[in-house]
Amino acid sequence: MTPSPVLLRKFRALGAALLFSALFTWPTGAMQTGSAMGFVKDLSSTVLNQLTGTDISDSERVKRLRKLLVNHFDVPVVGKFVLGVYWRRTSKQQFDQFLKLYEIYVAHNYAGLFKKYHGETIDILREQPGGDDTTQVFGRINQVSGPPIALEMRVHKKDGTFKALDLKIEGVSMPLTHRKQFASVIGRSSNGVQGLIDALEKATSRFEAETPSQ
Amino acid sequence: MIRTSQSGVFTKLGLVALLAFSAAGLSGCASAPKDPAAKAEFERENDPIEPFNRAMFAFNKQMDGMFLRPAAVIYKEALPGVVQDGIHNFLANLRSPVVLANDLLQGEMDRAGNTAGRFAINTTVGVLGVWDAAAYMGVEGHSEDFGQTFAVWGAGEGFYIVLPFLGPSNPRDALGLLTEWYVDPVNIIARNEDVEELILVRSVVTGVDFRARNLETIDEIERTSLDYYVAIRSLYRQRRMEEISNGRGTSDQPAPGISYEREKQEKPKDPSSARAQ
Repeated sequence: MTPSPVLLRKFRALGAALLFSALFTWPTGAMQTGSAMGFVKDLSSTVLNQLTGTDISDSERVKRLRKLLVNHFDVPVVGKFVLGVYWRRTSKQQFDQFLKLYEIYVAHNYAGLFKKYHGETIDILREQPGGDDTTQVFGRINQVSGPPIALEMRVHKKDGTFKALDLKIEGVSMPLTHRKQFASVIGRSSNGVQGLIDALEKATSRFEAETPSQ
Repeated sequence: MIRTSQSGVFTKLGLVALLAFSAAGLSGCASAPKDPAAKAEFERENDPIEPFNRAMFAFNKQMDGMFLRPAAVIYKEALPGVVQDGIHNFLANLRSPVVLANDLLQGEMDRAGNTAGRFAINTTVGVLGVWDAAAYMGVEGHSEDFGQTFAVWGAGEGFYIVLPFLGPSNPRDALGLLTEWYVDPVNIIARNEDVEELILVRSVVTGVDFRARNLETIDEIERTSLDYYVAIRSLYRQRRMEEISNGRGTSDQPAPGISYEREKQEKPKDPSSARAQ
């Protein structure tokens, strides 16, 4: 049975009030010591505050995103995942080179998507064990107009600190999409993983050239 | 029953599609790579007609660049947002009987109630669906189709296929599209009233509306992709899994931080110990 609109509105008002108070009272140390939900809540409010809107330059948005990625994502684990079966064939030197380029690549990928957001709020709703010591946190992005967008983040604890591993928007994971593309690039290249590194180098140089600093 | 009068515009479209299929078909089937790791990836992708699909993808991209995208840009710039929303709402409301049928066929009674309620409210209070009055009252809509219903009944997606004009699909979802085309009450009425052109007009406006609403996102995906074809194939499959599960999770997909038996066997634990072969 569909809940009554009045009840739904009351729940939404309550949710909005809770979110509002959470955004202003959540301690900054939540990323270090709180629950998985607290970590995601804190990270999402940081993202909304720092990355959305048009009042910052594109290059500044990319710079901030890269910093957030390095600080709050487990980039080496994500890097291993996106290389898939080819990770075994990657030398340490190649892997380090790949990770640096991948950080820039991801920062540019997300920067373009965040640019168009402005005025949205995020509700963090629940968490559940995600297997292999990971936790899945579920939430929704409330758009200014249009239906809410489903959000899912997988996190794990590393050295006592939560680190994000995956972010799904409406069921779509960017790392998984990258993994498929990278496998295709490596499979079609005569240079294996080096072919992917070369392609990433080319793409990131193009992105940097296309990104205005003002 | 299909009348002979429908042969006009649909036969022409069919011919173009057939020509595109034939041209793409000349490029043949994909051959599995010899490298074991690459072969395993290839088999997991289940895209045995990749050369054909890539050719069809290029054809669709060409059509998009020539017709759909320019139309979407004009649509977005020329019409006020409120008119675009009205058109989008009207089209969504028109699909409600199909969504309702699929909610029921999947045994999703709550969602069926939601769809029926929304259809009643939006068709009346919402002036034939132009205003989404139900969403204003807190009852958000959702979409369903026969491809999803077949999946809920246990049908696998099968191999990946790019359809002319329609884009990413698979045999299950393509059969779903065909079923919808035949049983959609709006299409049945259009066929019976001999105004079949309306079906085409509706399809075109739906396509333009979708492209306009996703203009920046699709452009951004193309701009940042290393392999646009593979990116779209992956996005399509992930979205379908999410739609089929009605947002209840897609935990069986690979994810960072999750070990898989195959990868456990193939990979050393520490990346620093990995070396090129």
